[in-house]
Amino acid sequence: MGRLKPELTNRVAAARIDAGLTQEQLAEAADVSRQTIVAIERGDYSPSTVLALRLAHVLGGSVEGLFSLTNGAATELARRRQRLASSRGGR
Amino acid sequence: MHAPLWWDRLVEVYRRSNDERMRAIQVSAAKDAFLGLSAALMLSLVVAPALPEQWQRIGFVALPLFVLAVGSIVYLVSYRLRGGGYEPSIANTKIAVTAVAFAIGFLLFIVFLAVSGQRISPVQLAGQLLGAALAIVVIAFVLRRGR
Repeated sequence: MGRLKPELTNRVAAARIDAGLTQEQLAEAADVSRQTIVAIERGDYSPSTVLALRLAHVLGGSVEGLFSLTNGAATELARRRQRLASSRGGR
Repeated sequence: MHAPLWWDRLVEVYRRSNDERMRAIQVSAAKDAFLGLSAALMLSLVVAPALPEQWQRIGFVALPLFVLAVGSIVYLVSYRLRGGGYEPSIANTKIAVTAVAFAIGFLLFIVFLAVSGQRISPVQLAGQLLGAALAIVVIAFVLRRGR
């Protein structure tokens, strides 16, 4: 099941309030249940790519603007990318 | 002919209630229920042949019900623990449909009793009604808590 990993953060609630929408209205527009919107805003559920795109369209932003990795996770991934790049360069 | 607006609204809410998150929860709960059902079935297969002669008839009725009850309870518990829930209008409709189904079942029971010529004491009838009412209360409680 798509449980949100702790390294993922989202600003769906803030974007929804900025857009002047209720959870029910956002749910209706994104074609999901209100409980799913609640779970996403709480960080209990990680939406599929399609749903993330749908939410971004409805809220008038980008997926990256709504969902992002925490600093710790982003730093770790950058470190791995550097390691991969250096190992490729060493060949 | 057009369906009434409340019906269209209900269908829409029901469709949205089965979104990707709910489907994932339902699949996981169904897998848990399958395990529970299998365990209950194995237990029944062990217990059934060991029942005394006079209990065989009761066992024939009770054991399948036991298996079904275990499967249903495991499903509901798993569904709730995984964050599954119902929209209020869906919960109320499910409660209403369940109550109507119970009422129809009870009417059929009375009709079959009358047709077969068998009699049932007022105490037994009250017990049947109480059991049905209790089942509806439990289902309503679970569905309302599931909102």
